[in-house]
Amino acid sequence: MRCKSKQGRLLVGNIIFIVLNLIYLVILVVFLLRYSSDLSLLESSYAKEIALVIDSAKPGMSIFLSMEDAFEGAKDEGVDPSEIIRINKNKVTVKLSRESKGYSYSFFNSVDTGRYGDGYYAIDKENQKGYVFNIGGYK
Amino acid sequence: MKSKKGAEKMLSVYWFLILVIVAFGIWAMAYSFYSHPFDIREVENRVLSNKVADCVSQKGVLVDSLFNEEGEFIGFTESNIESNCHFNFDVEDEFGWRGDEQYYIKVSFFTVNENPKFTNITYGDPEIETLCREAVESGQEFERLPKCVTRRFYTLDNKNEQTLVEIVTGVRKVEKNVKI
Repeated sequence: MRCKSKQGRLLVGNIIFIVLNLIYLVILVVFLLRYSSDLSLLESSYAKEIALVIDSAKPGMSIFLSMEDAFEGAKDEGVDPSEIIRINKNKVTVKLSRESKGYSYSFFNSVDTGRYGDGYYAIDKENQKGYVFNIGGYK
Repeated sequence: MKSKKGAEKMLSVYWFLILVIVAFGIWAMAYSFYSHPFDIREVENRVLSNKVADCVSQKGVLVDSLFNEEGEFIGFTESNIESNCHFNFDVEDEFGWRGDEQYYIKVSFFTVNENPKFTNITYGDPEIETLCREAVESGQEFERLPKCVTRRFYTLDNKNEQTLVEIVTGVRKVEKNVKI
């Protein structure tokens, strides 16, 4: 009798130990995922990436940029995908939440990037998970 | 029996401590990695130096717009380098950037023996190059200083003579690329 109850206690103790460890690991993974998909971080990295893409582009080029994670983040925040990127003169702004002002970075390549949807930059029509940039002529 | 129970309790305390230390370590690593902005100035410099190279030399020959009709070297000035090379160095109006030049370009021309050949083409704040040189001479990397890139290549001038071209480009933009 004594032996049985001791084994039972051991088993319950081990299960609690394993469950607590699993909870701990899940909390750590969730923390890391949330940290790495922080919207302000995504805004700055995409703004810089787009500025570099435009800087290194030449007139006539067409560039597709996959932005799946940014689209998902913007959707959760209620931002329309067509409002994520704005290019004004030589400044690109990426905005992924309604509260933020967005993150801006300038590029030095004086090419025509036009306005959204007028043939220069727009959401990719095929997969709806990225933007297409059609680089115009030199200004 | 009693001593075994005591040892188990001690072990669980240590186990809890280890969990806390591991969690803190992971948090510290994630914080130090994600709290620093991505520094793209070096890539920006490389792209800029490529564009400048394309602007002064095409197909292995210095471009005609660097010379006047008599074949004398006139180069580009601060005021016309932007239009000649298709640059727009306007920057966003943040951190007082509009008051300071954020880009620097210097193009030097040498003979094969590395003697100066033509006058230099410069744009922007020469202080950027001075700061970069000081950082290189000190042998340390200072994040909060501007970043520069130097490139050299050979080309032919308008008289088909070999010319060594040295391009120094610099980007300041410290506030958006370094944690202040």
